[in-house]
Amino acid sequence: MAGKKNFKVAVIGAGMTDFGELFHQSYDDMIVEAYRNCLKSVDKGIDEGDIQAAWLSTVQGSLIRRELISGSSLAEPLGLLSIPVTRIENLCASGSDAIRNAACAVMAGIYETVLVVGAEKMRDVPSRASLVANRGIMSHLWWHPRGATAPMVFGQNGTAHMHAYGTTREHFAKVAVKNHRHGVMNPHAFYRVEITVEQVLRAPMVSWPLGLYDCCPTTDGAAALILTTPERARQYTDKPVFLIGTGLGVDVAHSHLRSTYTEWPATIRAGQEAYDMAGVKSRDIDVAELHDCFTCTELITYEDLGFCEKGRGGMWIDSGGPCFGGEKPCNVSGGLKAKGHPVGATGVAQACEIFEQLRGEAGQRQVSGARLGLTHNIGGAGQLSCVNIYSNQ
Amino acid sequence: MAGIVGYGAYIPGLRITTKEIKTVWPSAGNVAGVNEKAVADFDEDAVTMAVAAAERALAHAGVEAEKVGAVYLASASVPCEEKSAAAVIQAALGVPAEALAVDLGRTTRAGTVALINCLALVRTGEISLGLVIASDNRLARAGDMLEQSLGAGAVALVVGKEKVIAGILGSASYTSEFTNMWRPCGERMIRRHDDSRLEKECGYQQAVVSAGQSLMSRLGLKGSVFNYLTAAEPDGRSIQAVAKLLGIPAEAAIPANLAPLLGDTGAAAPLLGLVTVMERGMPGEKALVISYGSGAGSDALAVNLTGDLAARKELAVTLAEVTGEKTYLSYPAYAKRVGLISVPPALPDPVSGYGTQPGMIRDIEYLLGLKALECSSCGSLNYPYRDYCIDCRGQSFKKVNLPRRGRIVTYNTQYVSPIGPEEVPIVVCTVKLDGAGGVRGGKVSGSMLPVDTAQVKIGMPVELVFRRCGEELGLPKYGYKFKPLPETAAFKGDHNYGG
Repeated sequence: MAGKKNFKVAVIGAGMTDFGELFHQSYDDMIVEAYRNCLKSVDKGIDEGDIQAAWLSTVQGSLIRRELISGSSLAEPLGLLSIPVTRIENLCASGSDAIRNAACAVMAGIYETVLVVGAEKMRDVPSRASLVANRGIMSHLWWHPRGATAPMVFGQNGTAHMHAYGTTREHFAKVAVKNHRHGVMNPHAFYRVEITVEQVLRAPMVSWPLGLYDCCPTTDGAAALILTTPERARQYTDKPVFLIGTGLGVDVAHSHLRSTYTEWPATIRAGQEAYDMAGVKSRDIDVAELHDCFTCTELITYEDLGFCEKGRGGMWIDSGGPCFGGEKPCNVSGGLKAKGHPVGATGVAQACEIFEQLRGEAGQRQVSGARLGLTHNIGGAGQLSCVNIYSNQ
Repeated sequence: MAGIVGYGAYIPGLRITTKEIKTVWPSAGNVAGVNEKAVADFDEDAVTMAVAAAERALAHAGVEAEKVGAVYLASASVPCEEKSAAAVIQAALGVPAEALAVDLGRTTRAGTVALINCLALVRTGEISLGLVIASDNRLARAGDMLEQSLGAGAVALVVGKEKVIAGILGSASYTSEFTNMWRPCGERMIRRHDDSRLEKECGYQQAVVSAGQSLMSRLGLKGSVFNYLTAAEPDGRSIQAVAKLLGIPAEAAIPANLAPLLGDTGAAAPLLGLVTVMERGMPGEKALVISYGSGAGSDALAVNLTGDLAARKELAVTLAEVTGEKTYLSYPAYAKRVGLISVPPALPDPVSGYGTQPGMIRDIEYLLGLKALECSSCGSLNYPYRDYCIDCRGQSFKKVNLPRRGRIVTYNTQYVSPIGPEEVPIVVCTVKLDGAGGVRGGKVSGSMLPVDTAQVKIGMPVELVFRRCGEELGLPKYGYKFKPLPETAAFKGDHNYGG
């Protein structure tokens, strides 16, 4: 399925660590495990010397008192000292953007076979000291003397969507319930336990309208992908997956300067760019991994990516549309909510899930007949959004 | 017979002389017989000294750390009031996690208490090898007489049943509540009653001599049979007085008289003295070891040097070697190391006030003065300042006052927040300012004053008020918050909520 820009880069291997509180694994240990799992997934094997360049996605090295995460942070633990390695930091969208950058280099014909690794060590500090304590850009000056937290900047959209379309906290809760149910089927997921709408609604409030179970957990993890040209791909596997469209949308960093609070323009732009490049429509997507950092984020994203009509996200989840077995299963891996959200690894891990789904290797959570898959990865307060579209043809 | 199978000592290389201290505090009084004392450097404390001494003791005993069944740390000056110091020592030495780790402290008597306890475990067969470490780095107040004497040092003894070089004949205790020196919880430096003669006679001598006499009568030994006396040394002369009172020959108290050159090393002192005895003693000789802690009392142990001693002497790092390299400190250099002068951080405070200091110069006009830029092309109110209009990319602006009133576009209610001091829940809202142009522009966001959260609604009128917004590094930050406004006082113009 060639898009109008003929963008086509093969994914020949994908591997990840479990996501969770990996107290016994260092940042380097996680990178090594994800890399080795990725190598193992290459059906016909790969000579490591074939890898010509690499990209590393990590957002907050400062959480582990490592301010200077760089290409060396990947090269040193893997002993890959003879190839160029670039570190990508584009907030929580870093993983998908690293894939996008690596794929562009392959498309440009500069390299044939490249490695992408995403890794984040978040639980070396208490979870309240990681993202909650990250005061973010808006804490500058007087706007948020108590700090702008992630649930705060995303919750502003939840409130506005409820006001504009009658969406309820129950609708948001159903996203969490769905993703927990999916997570049970994923051995890499942090939470593998089902929850109820009641439990979500009764949970302690974090930032109204978001309660504790509306928020993804703070986790560690790493994931890795190997990309190559479609021509070279057959040397490594008979079942390559292809990245056929990619888009990156950008919006304002200061939340008070957004043009709207009921959608994320960056996602709309990224989705449009990716759909156009791939030459597909939203209705063609069989399976999607969405950025459910908070339940309201996923629900609004259904609309931004055209999975349902504007304002109907609540109704779509009521109908079971994004559920496993539904019209267009979303976050079958458990998503950020149940699988976990080690920020720099998240986008790469989304690609790992789509890789398995499109190869028919996702076990009990396999979406039958999945041919086209989409990953969606938001950064910051919705100011960045990366959408990648994959095909098995 | 259970006894000592190896020993090691550690004394920091830094010294300060009594003479140097007295240049600053000429009327502080004199601690008899102390010429200089050992001082811990910035990167040394009771724990690091303990590890250094223990490594030497294990090497001397020829014992692998994996074989040690118990680690005892005796110290009156550990870094944390709650948190085991023995555990970090155990980890640093590579002693298995299954071993017992014991923290004994609160008094300088603790060194002998640890030894008596460890011997008991070895005798019963509960463990085959134990490690007893005494390490102290006690601090005195500036100008106090004790500043001349409180020194830093550590000693470690490996206790076992095989290849014993010093057997323990027996022990006796004399517990005394008489208190002349103490350190309350939360304080770093020792306090004392200013009556050193009372302390010497009713505290130190009473307990030390009573414990010694009790042990001698129990074992049926006279003072004259002891070739060596080693004891706690609050000063450089007391040990001689104790020898006399116990009928021990004066020359027996000479080898362990370490205070003149090390000061009072606290819990380590009597066991450091025992190290000197083992270094120079001959098989068959006997030593009496007596500890002391103010407000605690004394323990006495009788030691019999055995035949294995001679063969192992060459393996030991001698106290002469341990104390061989010395660097003398000036009083200011000493004062920094014991915390009498606070040392400023290596780097300046990272942030202050409003983010960065240069940021404060650039931003204060719109931050506190609430100025904004109105786009000449589309009328959008740009806040904070920018060069390209956020709505139309126009580059021409007029500086205007930011409207102080507006209506809520969206909001949420924070129940978890990283910084105080206000109490949650706090409403955070995005507000469209009255009469301000723009789709993206014309808005600000921030916290509300404490409100009944149930009354907050999209569209509700609010007003900016100047408040204290927390502090950084003790410097107050000021800024604005939103206060709800009665509908009757609110602007009635059109609003684009952008939603």
